[in-house]
Amino acid sequence: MRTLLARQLSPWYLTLPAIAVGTAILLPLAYLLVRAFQAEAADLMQIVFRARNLYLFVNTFLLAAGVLAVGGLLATPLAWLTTRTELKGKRIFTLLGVLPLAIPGYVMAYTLLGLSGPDGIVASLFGLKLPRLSGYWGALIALSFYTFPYLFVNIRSALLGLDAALEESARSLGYRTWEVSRYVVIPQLRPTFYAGGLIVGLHVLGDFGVVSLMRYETFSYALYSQTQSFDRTYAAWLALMLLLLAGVFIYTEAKLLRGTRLHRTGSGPPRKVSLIPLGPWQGPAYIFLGVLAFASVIVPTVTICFWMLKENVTSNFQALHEALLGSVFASTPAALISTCFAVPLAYLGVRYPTFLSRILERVAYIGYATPPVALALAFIFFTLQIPGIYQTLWVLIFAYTLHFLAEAIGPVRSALYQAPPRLEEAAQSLGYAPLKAFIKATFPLLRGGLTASTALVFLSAMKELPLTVLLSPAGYETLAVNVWGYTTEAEFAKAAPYALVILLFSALFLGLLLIQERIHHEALA
Amino acid sequence: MKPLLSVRNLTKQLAPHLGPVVVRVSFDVYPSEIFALLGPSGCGKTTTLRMIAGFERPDAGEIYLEDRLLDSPEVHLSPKKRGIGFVFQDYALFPHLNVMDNVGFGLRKLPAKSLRQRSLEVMELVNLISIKDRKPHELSGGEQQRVALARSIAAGPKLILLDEPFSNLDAELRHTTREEVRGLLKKTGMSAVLVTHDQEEALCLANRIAVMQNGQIEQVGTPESIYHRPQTPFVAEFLGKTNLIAGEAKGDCADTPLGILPLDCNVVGKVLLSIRPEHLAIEHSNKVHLNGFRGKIVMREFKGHDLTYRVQIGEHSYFVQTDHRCPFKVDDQVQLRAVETAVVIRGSDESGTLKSPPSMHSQDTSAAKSF
Repeated sequence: MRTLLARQLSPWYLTLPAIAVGTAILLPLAYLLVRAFQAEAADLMQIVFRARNLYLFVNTFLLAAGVLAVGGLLATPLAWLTTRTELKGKRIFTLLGVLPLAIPGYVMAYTLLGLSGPDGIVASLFGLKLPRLSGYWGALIALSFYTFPYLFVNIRSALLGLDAALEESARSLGYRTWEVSRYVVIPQLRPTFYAGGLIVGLHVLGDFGVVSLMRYETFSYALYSQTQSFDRTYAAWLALMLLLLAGVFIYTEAKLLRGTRLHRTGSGPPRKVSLIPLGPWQGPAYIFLGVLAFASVIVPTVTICFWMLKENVTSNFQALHEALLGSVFASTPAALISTCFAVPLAYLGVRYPTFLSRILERVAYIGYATPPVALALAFIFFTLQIPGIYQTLWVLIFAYTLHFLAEAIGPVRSALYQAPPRLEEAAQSLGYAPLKAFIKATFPLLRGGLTASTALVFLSAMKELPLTVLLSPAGYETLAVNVWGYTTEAEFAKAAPYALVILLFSALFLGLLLIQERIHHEALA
Repeated sequence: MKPLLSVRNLTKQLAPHLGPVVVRVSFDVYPSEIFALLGPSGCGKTTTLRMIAGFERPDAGEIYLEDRLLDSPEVHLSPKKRGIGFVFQDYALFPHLNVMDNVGFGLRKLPAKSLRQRSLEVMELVNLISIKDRKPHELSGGEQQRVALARSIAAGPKLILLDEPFSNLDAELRHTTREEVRGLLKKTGMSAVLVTHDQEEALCLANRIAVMQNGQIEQVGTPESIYHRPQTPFVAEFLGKTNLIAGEAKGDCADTPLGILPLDCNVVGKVLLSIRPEHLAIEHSNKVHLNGFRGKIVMREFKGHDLTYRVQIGEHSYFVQTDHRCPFKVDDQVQLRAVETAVVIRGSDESGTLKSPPSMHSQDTSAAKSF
């Protein structure tokens, strides 16, 4: 009875903007395809079956697999320790486990580079000359520290959601502790590993900052180099291969996930498990947690501050100010526009769950999952066709909007779930037309969600690197581009102030995300 | 008297692969009448109500309010133009507005002063003045319900629709609220259509009841006629326990496994009869009684102020309700006697013909004229 509205036709003022957004996302990607097939047939064979493609594929795959493995090794014990044991300070360690999300990959890479090498912190403080970290191992460490919190939060919430009765019945049937983990807990965590794995995988595919600073060639990095050259057809093909790889990731996850949807039978809230005392293992557990927090949160912060002190900050103030304004001028309109479009999309999805609305929401997620370098290239190709648009700020704003639209939909949708459709029906029965009823009865309840959406997109755009590097007008200064630009030239001191401001915005973003998560869970509870 | 609301042949299918949820439903609601749509969940009663409100569009049929056509295959008046109030099961109070603003929500066309005055009037009526500045989440279930009702009443509709209005209240509150709502509707002289699955609620609140099953109306009538003269086996069983008995009618009585039973009408041929457990009496089988067949008690349920027995006679068993003095035990040899006439269920006499149709076979509107 709840979705009765669904059988009615959605009004044009919702459908039209939603379709417009869908088209805006798909059109550049479609044009990428057109561009790719403009090559001569003979050249095509030569482009697609290049040995270099295989080399890039192996590199990308090795990095993704490595990051997943390291992330899993860090996140699983962290999640278990903070949910299932009698350890003290679990809340603080949980927070510390999420905090690395506030450090963008390229800042993490900056940290590693600024730490090691002949003039790095370790060298100047301890006289220890570490070789400069780079290549596979540098990229692996930076990306693992940056992405393991995604796995951690997934595993953690899954562990908290498990029904204690299942484990207790296994124990009552004669299973030992490790057997319970092996046969009851781990199987139930499988969907979580897949989902978290997908997020991490897509991050590795899409990452540009880390691999470019570490000079490790993956598809994204190679694609970037190719866009700077004249062989744009090969660039289009690299982008297609990158998209294909992302598609394979998503498909694999969906395939693995099928049939693993686990539901609790029985009624009543699940009971909490009894916590396990660690005994002699308590010491090692604390050391593990401490080292992890130190390496992933404290070291980056200290490194940035160290380089800050090395340089006279005031001399850079003018440039910093300009870059900050540049970031804000591009991010603000993107945040506002994507929130505007998020409302009809979320509303259609929640109130008119039809085939079309489901497709449109998926399309918004395609924009999000598309590796940003590929998206940027699609935009470059597309805007070259429209006179007067190429290399303007609008292109950058537009790209931000479409890429982060999915982030804006989330909070609006949670807010909509909290506003029952009955409210609008009540307003209609009291003499309000449908649109007016929405404005009077539902819109006031969305304010919090709309603010969150705008803020999330704003902060995401502030720290976004590849789209900014590839699409901003010539000479346009932003924070992210400056961090990256100075770091590629090993000018760590010059990059430091920009990195610090980025860190600040990222911390804000994370705080907001955490609050939003809590609201979302309450909405669904 | 002219009906206020007329529903004619209303039909609705929610999804193409599912069957229709409402099938050719017709009924009238008269001014000042409380009309209940009663049925099990999924019988189409809420969909019917939502179509009257205009939230759903019927596939076929018409809805009239007074002489105005609200719905037909060609016409669909939007909910805002209908002037029909709707009280939702979960009340749907606007969480961002206080009680006063919720009540005044439908009065936006009035100037501020009269808006305030009218809101106060209605709040006075439903006894909300003392909590007029509170937000919905600060109210108890009963208060929320009164606000929801006041919000609908304030807009001055001719008809109010109530969707399971008492289902969110606990049992104790339900009784008192039911009284209040009934009193309020009578005081304002407003007509109401009420949807419920609770037969007791329908019986004690409504002037007339339509019993629905599988999207169709099985019977319309006053609570008394519905209860005492059910026309279909479903109605007989849905409104309290009953015994359904097959028999051979011969005028004003019928041959049944229970012996000869007196009937409420004249009919000939095979019939299905309904007789309520409290309309049967148990007697010791050693008393000679021509009219009864011998049986045995197979179950005894003591419920305080009364008792329910199940009596096995031949291959059938029957429920009998007696007062606490009835002294039988399980396995006692007994016979049954009807103390009231048995009710002939309509449509059961396939081969038989009705000699004189009982009065309830036509739509029972006699009660509607005497509010």
